[in-house]
Amino acid sequence: MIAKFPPFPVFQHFIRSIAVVLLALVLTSGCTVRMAPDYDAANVAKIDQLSESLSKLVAGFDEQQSYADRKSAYDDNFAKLNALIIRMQARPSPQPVFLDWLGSKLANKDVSKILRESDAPSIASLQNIQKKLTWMSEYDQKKQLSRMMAALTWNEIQSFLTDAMVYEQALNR
Amino acid sequence: MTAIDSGQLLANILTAVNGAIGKDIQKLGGYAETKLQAIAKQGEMVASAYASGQINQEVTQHFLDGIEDMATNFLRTLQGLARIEVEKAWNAMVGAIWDAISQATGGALRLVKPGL
Repeated sequence: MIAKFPPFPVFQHFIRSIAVVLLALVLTSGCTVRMAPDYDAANVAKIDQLSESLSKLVAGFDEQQSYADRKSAYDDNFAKLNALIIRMQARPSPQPVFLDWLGSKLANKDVSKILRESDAPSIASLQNIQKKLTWMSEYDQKKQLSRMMAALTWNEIQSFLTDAMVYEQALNR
Repeated sequence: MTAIDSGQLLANILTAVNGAIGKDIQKLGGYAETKLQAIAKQGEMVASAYASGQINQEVTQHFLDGIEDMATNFLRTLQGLARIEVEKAWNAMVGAIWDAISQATGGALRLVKPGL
């Protein structure tokens, strides 16, 4: 004979009480979940400014000019990128435990790594722009940068800028 | 204390979740489509530039790696956006449950509403 669980009314009452207390604790503690950083309008404005100055340097690349002519524009953009990356890295970013757990269960290491990253993805977008701009400046210095290479670099940078902007704007929830 | 109508609660949860993320999901679809088109266009341009001799093999490899960077960054951003949507859906859902419990208990529990 299979006994009904739980068999004793006192035990049933105990379980019910625990459940009510737990529910009350969860609800009264204001269980708002935060899974991403807070919105910062200044970051959106800074990405916008960065987009404008990068566009002048990369999309407006002029083969008639030399690296020396562009040096200050490179320096200015690298400085803006560094400052914005540091600003975003300093922003607190929540890391829900279940994403760590889910990430650890995935077979694909790249996807698993991305899922477990707690940094805002806009930081990686800006780091990618840094990488592309470094490559471009090195080729420019060697006088090996063509109009086509600058155009292809601009496509890459534009893609990362869009990613960063879309994410930062989505934080405005 | 009045009883909670679970059917109505489910309808309220769905309305709250749809209200919180419905339009965002459409925007997410638009963003994803634009990005995939941009990545495909870059692939086309790299191939064409290499074929016409405008870029050498070393530079072509650099831009092919760049396409991989674009795709990885897109995936990373999409995951970040999805995380925001999960957050919104969760909070909308808990908010709807909070409303139901609050009504059923006549506000006796003094619950802190999520999102406030």
